[in-house]
Amino acid sequence: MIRAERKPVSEIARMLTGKKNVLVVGCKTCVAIGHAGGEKEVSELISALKIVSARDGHGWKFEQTVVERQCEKEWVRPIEDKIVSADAVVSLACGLGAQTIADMYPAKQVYPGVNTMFLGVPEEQGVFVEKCLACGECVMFETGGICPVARCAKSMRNGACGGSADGKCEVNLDTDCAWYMIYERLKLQGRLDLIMKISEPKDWAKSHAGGRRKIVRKDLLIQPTDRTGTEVKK
Amino acid sequence: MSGNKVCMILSDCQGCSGLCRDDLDRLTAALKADAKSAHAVVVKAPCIKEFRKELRDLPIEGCDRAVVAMWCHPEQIGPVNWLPKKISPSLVDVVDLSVYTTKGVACATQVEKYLRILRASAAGLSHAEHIKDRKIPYASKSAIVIGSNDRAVEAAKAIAAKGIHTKLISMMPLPSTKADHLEVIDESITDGLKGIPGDFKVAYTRKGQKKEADAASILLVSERCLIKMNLPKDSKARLVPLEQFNSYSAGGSRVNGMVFLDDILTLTTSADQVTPAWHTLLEAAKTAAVTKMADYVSVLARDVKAAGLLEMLWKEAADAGVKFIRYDDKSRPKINKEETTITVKDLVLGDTIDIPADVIVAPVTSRPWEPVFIERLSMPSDWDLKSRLRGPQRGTAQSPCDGIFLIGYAGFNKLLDIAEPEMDSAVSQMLAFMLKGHHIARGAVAVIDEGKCSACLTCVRTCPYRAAIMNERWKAEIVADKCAGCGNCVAVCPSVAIDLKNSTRPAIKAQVAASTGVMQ
Amino acid sequence: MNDKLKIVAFVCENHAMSAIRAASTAGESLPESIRIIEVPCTGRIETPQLLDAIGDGADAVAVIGCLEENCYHDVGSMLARGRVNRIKDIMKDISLEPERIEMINSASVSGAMLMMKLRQFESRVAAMPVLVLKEAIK
Repeated sequence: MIRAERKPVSEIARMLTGKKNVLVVGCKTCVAIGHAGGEKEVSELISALKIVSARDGHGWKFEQTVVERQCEKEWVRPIEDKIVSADAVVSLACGLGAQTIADMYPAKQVYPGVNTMFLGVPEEQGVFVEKCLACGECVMFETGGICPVARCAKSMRNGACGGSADGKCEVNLDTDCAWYMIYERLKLQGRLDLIMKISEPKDWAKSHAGGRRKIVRKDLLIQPTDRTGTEVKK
Repeated sequence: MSGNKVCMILSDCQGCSGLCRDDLDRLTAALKADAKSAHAVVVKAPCIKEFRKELRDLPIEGCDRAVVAMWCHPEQIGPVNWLPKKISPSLVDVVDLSVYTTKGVACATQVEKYLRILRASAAGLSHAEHIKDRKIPYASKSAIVIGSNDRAVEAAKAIAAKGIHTKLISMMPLPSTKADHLEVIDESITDGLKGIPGDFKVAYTRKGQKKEADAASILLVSERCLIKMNLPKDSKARLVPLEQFNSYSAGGSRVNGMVFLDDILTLTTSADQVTPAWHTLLEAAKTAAVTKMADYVSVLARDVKAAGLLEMLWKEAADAGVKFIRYDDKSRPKINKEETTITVKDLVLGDTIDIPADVIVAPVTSRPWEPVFIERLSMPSDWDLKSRLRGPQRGTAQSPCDGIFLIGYAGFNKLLDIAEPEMDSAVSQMLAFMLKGHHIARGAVAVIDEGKCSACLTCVRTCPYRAAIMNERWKAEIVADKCAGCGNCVAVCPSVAIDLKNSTRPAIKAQVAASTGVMQ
Repeated sequence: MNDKLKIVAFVCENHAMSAIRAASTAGESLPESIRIIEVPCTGRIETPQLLDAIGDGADAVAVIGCLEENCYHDVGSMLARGRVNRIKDIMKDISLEPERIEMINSASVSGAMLMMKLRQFESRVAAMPVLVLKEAIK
């Protein structure tokens, strides 16, 4: 899921200079499970900021809350009172959550309390590893379920580069060479014929390189009507 | 709830406290005046048996919790069953004030300090919750030792000697091993292990037949202990696991010859081959040569991997003076008993040469866990052995879960001369466990609020007792009988969904505030 | 009372508390500034609790637990050390002395050594500038 890391407390403190009523909002989904912006981290941040305030005389007053999913308006709406009465909102959700609040309450100062980093899996407790780049054109069916876009430093499309040594990537000896892994995986599955296939270059326009992306599911759209059943033209 | 009022009971431990009666009365008066206390009384010292009865029958109105102040540790005067009868043991805090007594300090200062401490205790106790302890006797009366070498046999005999029925499950045949209370199950491969402390079941296969043995506790003696057997018994060479080279090099003294072996099982006839992390080995060899840990540093390997990035390391090591010597399976190196040397046939020279080897560094495990444990032993309650063995500092005779004891490489990579005292430690811990005969289940000590649980699995992974599980609603739940009340799950939960009955958040908060003098 | 040093010590009820008792039996005294909060395991302690102790007026916080290789509850003191280090990073970031928070491990028999470490900690903290909190933290 989405992985984020809390910004240094001093950076957040600088954002709050001159503010008085500060609301810190966490999220219970990705950032909670990733130990970056759940209720626990909200408390931790406030404990640290309280000391800064007391020592430097900022006079900050803190309010804290968490919402189920900060990226959905319906979940943010119930905490409207808290948002309205604050003069600064620090969001510990990912960029999606922070922007949802900012877009809903454009006159409010909404500050990001975390840096949203990547899409990652928990390899083991406390270790998050990027495995998907959201490139928009998944090719894993040809690579035995291993993504060469995210897990190869160069996003190589048709095999390892010359820097691969002993199964490790030349960029970082901690990283396994994705194509070495793909080879071994396809061998295990008896599908080494896929290695021989030369694939076309990727359509990078489908990734963020093509600009901000949008998916519209026409079958899910709720068409507005005038309650007589006649569709209203927007 | 009687308003969480706390009864303060001070024992008149004049002999031990150094306080005169006036001071004690002053302390009592101050506590009486506190809003939190319902009573503050002085009682006679509980170290004298006759006085303990009085304590039990103390009339306490309006309190369901108490702080007992004494000047020695309650365990010193026997089991704590002299507490006020009407108050549940989990709601009594017995404070040993002798810990806080400083010699040579004025009585008035001491009294102030005691007051602060007792108030902090009362503040915490106001938020304490009632917990019911239960004694669960072990289902099995036996102990099992799993291992094949001398150490395993010694351990099994030591435990059996205490009158405990001990079953020794060994891979090798052990025809001449006999002792009272010892049941030898040899030529058996252990297949799996499950259960809970006090009630384990070990599955094994003997001569093609699948069987099961029960035990209250298990001692695992790693097969890697075989390594010691393969070093000639009176060899003067010292074996250092490659994985521990860093700590060795910090304190090792200069020797004549240091040999880096690619494979510890080079010394055995086993078909298993351990592949070293070449990066680690080359770095270590280079360090040994550069810092002159030995006059002669060599790497003995079937096939030195030096391609790609490793080539640079290999070159650096060679430039620093490390000698690389190849051998093949037909002419394996032999460690010599009398002198500290290794005899090997140098494939380049074609000659047999003797290499100085006062210290032999070899990878013991190339992966931090042994396949034999993962594949053959499934630890109790779907416990993940891999993550337990991963850390480099797992303890001496560490119990991964209550009732299971590990020694040798089963615990972690360590210098061989630690294995022996470790065995003694493991055996005595195991005996203590067996002789206790029961464990205390503390009821649902950690409590999870399902509504807040985000199913992140952190508590499930963290709990050392495997007491946190995912229930059928895919929410975390604590299995009451397994919870030891350590609170690790409470602290790791990102959703703050867990609290600990015997150490609640409000209780800790209140204690800290009271001890720093912040008035609530 | 306000000018005296206040060090809050979170002590695990297992090896650490045994060590403290062992010390007092041997006639060694606990340094005056140490105020003990007993917890079932140092792994119980959460990061906001460490910060809040400072906020409540403690000059320093000690987390005293079992030796990591021998934690009574297996992972507690190791996790506690991780949290103490995390708080040290936060304190450095907000210009507070990271040495105000310390993880101390002790075997159950090492009472004297523990007292020595606590005395050393106390003198290090005494040498630091007094932490002045202009406003009371509620």
